[in-house]
Amino acid sequence: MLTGASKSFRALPKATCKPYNKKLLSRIRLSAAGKGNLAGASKKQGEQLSEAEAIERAKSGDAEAFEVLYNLHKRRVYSLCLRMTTNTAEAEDLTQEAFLQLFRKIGTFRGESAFSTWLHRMAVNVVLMRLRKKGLQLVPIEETVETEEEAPKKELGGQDPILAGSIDRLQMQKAVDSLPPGYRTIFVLHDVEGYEHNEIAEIVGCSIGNSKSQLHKARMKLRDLLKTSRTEKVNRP
Amino acid sequence: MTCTDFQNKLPDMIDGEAAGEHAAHLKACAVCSDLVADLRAISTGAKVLCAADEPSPRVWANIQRALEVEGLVRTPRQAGGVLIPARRHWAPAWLVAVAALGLVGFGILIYQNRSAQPIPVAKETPAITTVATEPAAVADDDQQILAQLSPAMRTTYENNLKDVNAFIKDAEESLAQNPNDEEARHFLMDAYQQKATVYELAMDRTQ
Repeated sequence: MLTGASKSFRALPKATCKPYNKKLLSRIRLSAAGKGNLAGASKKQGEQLSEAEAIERAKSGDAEAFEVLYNLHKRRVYSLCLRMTTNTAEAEDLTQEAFLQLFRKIGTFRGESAFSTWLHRMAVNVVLMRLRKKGLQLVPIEETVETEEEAPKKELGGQDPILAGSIDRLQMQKAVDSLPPGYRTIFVLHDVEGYEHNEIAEIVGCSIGNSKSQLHKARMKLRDLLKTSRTEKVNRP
Repeated sequence: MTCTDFQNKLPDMIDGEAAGEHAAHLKACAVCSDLVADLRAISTGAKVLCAADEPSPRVWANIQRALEVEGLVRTPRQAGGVLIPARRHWAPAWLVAVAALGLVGFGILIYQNRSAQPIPVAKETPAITTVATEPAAVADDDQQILAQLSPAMRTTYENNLKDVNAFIKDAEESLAQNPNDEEARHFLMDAYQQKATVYELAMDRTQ
């Protein structure tokens, strides 16, 4: 019976850090640096089809063009879904849903915005709709009183070594996955996906001030999590 | 200005430049400047999570099926704009089934072979040698599939096969090091299934 832990071979290293994953990890770091980003999306795919050509051909139902567009953007869409849900099966399902919506509506794309912007906004909406259906509060209410444990601590003295330069991808991924859903949504949209506070406010339906405040709290929480994980790593025999 | 005053204002100024008394405090206070450095490092470090993961080939397989069911795709050679199903390569379907079954069967053989008994490493060596002799045959199979694809698709599938082959190799090497590693055996089995999916998708796209 399969465990299902490795739903995608790229996602495999998340589950474990056993020796046989070390090489995979290095490949993941390489691929994370260069593949599937927006810069790559405008380049030619394979030998022939550019993104613009693929869009035009997809509008007339060309199967190959759909696949080219999927391959250009699958990593970013899937990564967004995975970060927001922290669940590979759900992320795959949402990726599928986002691309199907895209392909159903591609005939209406007129090029007023970049294709990638259009697609990623669609993907964000698909994910947020799913999270709302699950009853998750995407943005904590501004007036919510946090318990002492939840609130990010003020740094008033006692210096720790700073984190700069010492955060690797897996540490970051694990820490982001541990954030409460509300903080995670804002953090992923702003710091990972690059949305501005005014865009986030519009997408999730909150004020710009709330978006800023949640982002700050998310970063403070992440700082605590990353420092704890580093201390544990150092103290491990 | 106290650290508390400074940190209360931080959400509004962290992504820009501190000015006036805030800038002066930031310069003078090591605690607050370390905090700002950390928060900026976290913000910068988060970018590595963008487009970092690859979905399973199953996702595209499902999308493709849904597109066909909904009648959203048509063949490139079609004239007159009438929608017809794109899954037009039924002829080699038996070949897909054979290739996929072969791969999964091969995976099951390895799986059962190794899960049946915890064998000492020395005894396991011949079986591993058998697996290690396979890559040439595997490369031939891959090339045969790739040769039937259009140039635009070939690169994509070549990369997918490269990834999944590397995944298989990693799991095999891990099993060679530790034949009793249950997790590696599961990953290997999963990798063979993923390769079967890639084959199926590739065959569906053949010219």
